[in-house]
Amino acid sequence: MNGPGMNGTASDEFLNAFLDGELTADESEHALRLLDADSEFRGKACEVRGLKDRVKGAYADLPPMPARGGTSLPRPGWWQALAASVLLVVGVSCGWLAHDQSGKKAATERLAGLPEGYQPVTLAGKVDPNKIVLHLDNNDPTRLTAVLDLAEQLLARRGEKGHVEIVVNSYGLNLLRQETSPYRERIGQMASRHRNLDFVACGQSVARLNKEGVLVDLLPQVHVVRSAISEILDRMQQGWVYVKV
Amino acid sequence: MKGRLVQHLFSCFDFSGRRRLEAMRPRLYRLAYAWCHDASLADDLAQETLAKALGRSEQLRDEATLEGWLFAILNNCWRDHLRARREYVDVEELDELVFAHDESPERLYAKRQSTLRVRDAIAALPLAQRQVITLVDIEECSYAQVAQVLDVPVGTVMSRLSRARQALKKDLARDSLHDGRAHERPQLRRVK
Repeated sequence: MNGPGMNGTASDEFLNAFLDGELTADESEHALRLLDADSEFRGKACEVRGLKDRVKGAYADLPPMPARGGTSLPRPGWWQALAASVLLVVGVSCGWLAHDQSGKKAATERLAGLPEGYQPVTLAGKVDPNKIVLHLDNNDPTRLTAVLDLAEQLLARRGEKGHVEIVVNSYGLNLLRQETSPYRERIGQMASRHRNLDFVACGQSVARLNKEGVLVDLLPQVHVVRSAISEILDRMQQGWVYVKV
Repeated sequence: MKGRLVQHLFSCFDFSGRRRLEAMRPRLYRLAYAWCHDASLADDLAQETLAKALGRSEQLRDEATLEGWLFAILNNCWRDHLRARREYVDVEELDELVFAHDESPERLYAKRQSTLRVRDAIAALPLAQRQVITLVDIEECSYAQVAQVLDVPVGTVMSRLSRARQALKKDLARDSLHDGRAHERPQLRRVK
């Protein structure tokens, strides 16, 4: 994948691959950094993201299939609701363009409980410093510990109004796998203690491991999303603060 | 010969296989609709794809690739249909084929609504680009899967996707300038 050149402008292909979840972990990380640093990249990312939603949404509500023996059709009401929700997403993502630099600064300064050395990143115009997505993509033992510690500190400072989501992909998946996690018990305890803490695994990373013949058995507290990157972007779009651990 | 017959009979009676195929019908229909924008043709294409898939189920080695395999069959059915309908023989040319709709007051009004507006913009894309963007955005296929379905290199998938998104952006941006005024388009044309 051709990354951004020396002048800092990323190619359309790079941007597309980022939003389609086709980049490697390193490339994604680079793209996420660009999102924060490069307003042109951010604007384009918003545009493509919105476009993807619109393309998908445009075919959510189709003319019904002509009746054919035995084929049951979804109820039209359901499709309409889906189409409406997709349009809502489009509306939200357009707000993305109206990125407020000053609002963002204030929000990240208010990010209580975040120790030195971590860089909070935000996207949406309206940022909620109580909602934080923590991203882990490697298997470094100190980071596995750090992500759990961080989640607990952040939640402790926020109480009921806080919400933390730990999103893992690539080697970070080891934290949430039955056979590799050094913290099975601790994660179970944390999950039962905090209703506002979620453990999320990247479906693409799981699929990749399965393809390599590794059977992935995740902890019962984990839910799987299509891709970590889209999950993170969705959250950021909704005003969450992103922290790479 | 006898082996094939037995296999065919076996596949005909493989009800769980049938059910799995049948479950894919709505997705095939939606994808076909996104390519041709015609409900009854999309339904025919989905039906034809499933019928072919049943007949050739011995070709499917790995269950995990069912989707991609069906999409590739759908792609062939669609191309066969275009070839039969027009005198096109050159597949390269098919990739440049552009469709458009009739304009009617009702459509013009409805066009202001985002959904139809986006469908129109997608319908105006050359076929090759339309197929790539719908596979990636509607079916959430990976680039490698799309390359396999359409039998083109991954680099081609990426450049078509890039062109498709550029064109869509441009087309949809025109809306805000002209407030949904219809642009003239011939019924069916080829673009070189």
